[in-house]
Amino acid sequence: MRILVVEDDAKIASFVVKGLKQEGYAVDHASDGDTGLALTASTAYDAAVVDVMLPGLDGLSLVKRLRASRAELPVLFLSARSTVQDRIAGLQAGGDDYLTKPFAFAELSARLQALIRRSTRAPEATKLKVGDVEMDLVGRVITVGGRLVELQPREFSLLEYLLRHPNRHVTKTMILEHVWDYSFDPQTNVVDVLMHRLRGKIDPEKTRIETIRGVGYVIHGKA
Amino acid sequence: MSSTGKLNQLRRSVAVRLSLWFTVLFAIGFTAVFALLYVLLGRQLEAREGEVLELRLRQYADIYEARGVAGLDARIDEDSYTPHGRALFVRLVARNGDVVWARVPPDWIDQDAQRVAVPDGWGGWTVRQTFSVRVPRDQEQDLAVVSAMLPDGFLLQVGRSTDNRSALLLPLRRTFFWIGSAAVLVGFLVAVMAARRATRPLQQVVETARRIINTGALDARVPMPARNDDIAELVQYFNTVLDKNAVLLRSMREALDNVAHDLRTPLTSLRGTAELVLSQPGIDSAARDALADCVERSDEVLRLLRALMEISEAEAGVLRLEKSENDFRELTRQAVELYADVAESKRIKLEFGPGEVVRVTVDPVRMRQAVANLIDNAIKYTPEGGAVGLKMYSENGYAVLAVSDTGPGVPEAEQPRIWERLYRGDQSRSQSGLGLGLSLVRAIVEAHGGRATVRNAPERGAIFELRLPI
Repeated sequence: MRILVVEDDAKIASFVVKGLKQEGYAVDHASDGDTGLALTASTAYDAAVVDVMLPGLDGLSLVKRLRASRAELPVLFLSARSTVQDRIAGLQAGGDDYLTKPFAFAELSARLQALIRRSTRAPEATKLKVGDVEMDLVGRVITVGGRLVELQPREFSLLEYLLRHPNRHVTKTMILEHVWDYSFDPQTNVVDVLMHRLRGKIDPEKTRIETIRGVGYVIHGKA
Repeated sequence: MSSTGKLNQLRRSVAVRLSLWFTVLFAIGFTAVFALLYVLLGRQLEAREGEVLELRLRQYADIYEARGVAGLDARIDEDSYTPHGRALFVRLVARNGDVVWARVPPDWIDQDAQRVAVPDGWGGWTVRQTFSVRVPRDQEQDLAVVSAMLPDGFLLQVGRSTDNRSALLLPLRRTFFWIGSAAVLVGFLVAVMAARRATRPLQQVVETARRIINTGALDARVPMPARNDDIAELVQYFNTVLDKNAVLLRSMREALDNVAHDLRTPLTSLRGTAELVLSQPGIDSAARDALADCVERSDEVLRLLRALMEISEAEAGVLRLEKSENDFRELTRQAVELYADVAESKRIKLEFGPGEVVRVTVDPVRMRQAVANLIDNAIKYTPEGGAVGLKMYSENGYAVLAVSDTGPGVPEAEQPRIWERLYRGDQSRSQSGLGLGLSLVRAIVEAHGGRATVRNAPERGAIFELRLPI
């Protein structure tokens, strides 16, 4: 998997490139739009991360030109602008996703993975299994270590989200968006409360779901 | 409501008021001109009639002098046969007032003759036919009489019934009435049209101002009127003011955007670098804590930045709202759902009863955020085992959401201040949060043309109310 990162801020580019390399991707970096466009012409990428505000050719124009030649490359926009209009402009220019700065690297990684998966069209699973936690999406049945567990809808939704990202970091923002369809931070940490309840039901010893302060949560494959 | 509103609008319309004034003045002027014309015409007619009669009088006097009564009689007969000649009343009156001789126009004599017995002078009676003479004199007709003293001492009178009024003036009056009414009506319609045309630019100024206030369309301008008059000047100045405002708002928005951008870029690398290290295994716990603090603090700064930006934008009137028609009850229900688990963990009864759909035109994301902040606030200040209740109803064209809690309430002196940025009352010192939640609530609600208020419940706790125009 080869990914192109077009970002003019050296520090942001550095941690994005480093992080993606740690995830096992091959990464190329361009610090302006023209270089980025030239790279897409010479190399076959699986996805691109493009900053909207770039010196020279800006991100939106870059993707518009890209779409004119190579329509299938999935593109994720990064932007310091967060309004709905900006988001719409990004998607209209041909972007597949849009992430506002500052972002959690875990979220960038998850979204990139989703884009690549979408473009390769992996079949939808009906069963999820991580370690000894099993979820039947059709019958909505959950077993932990063979024992049947009853969850209420929001807990089910949270667990499903974790199981879909095994061994990966999941941030509170990502959970909030997935479980409640909310795109802003409520002041009280509602995610903590829900996570606490879910743990009480499936992971009282805190061996399955790990909390990494400052990053988020991760569900481990090893039981 | 709408019909009285229309009426009110009509009453307030300058165009209608101008037209009414114009019409009244027009009607008065028209009537005055006609009255003058009428009087002058009447006088002129009378004078001419007098002249004609005088002429006749002189002729008859001459004939009487030359040929006596018989000659006069013959001449009158002659005259009565001339075409268009008017029958005249002619009489000779003695000095004592007795009528010596008279000729009466045939149409003055009553048709029905009376037979009466009169003494015949010899002691007997004889029956004679008499006619009564009716001198036509009423409102429509008048009698014009001229007289001249004859040399033999008799008075010759020539008279004529004048039917000027009935023949000329009455139809004139009728014609005036109809033409006058029609002219006033047409005048009013023309006046309304002209006044409307003249005040259209004013109307457009009002409409433009309303559009800017309602939709925030800063690029709305009043079209320049075709004529270059003082209203055009007003429109031009109004547009100039709008231009300046738009430039100010745009530069302010850009400044805010730039600040946000300039803060976000370093925050991104700070947060990202720390997060990347944190997600690697085998870091010692002291470094881990420090890095986690970095991430959490940068998130906090971002939240603060975002809230401050939104409050500033909303207060400056440049907050971009994605308005659409929404069910306020459903938005509230979603916000309540978000806090269901939090309330449960504090054993707080969070209740929002069902009810009818309340349609409001709002930015759903922002309004949900405002409602969520209110619920968040209520839960924060409600002790364990308490209750937070939400009620929604329509009142005087407003949708009202009341959030009541069983917390300590808000001291009266602090009630206006809790909406201020970063203000924290004594009771909130122990609570986490940035003190921007309520400011954001008010900013969002006011950006939607609504109001946010707080009061204390009679028994216990505070009641926060949001009012949104329906």
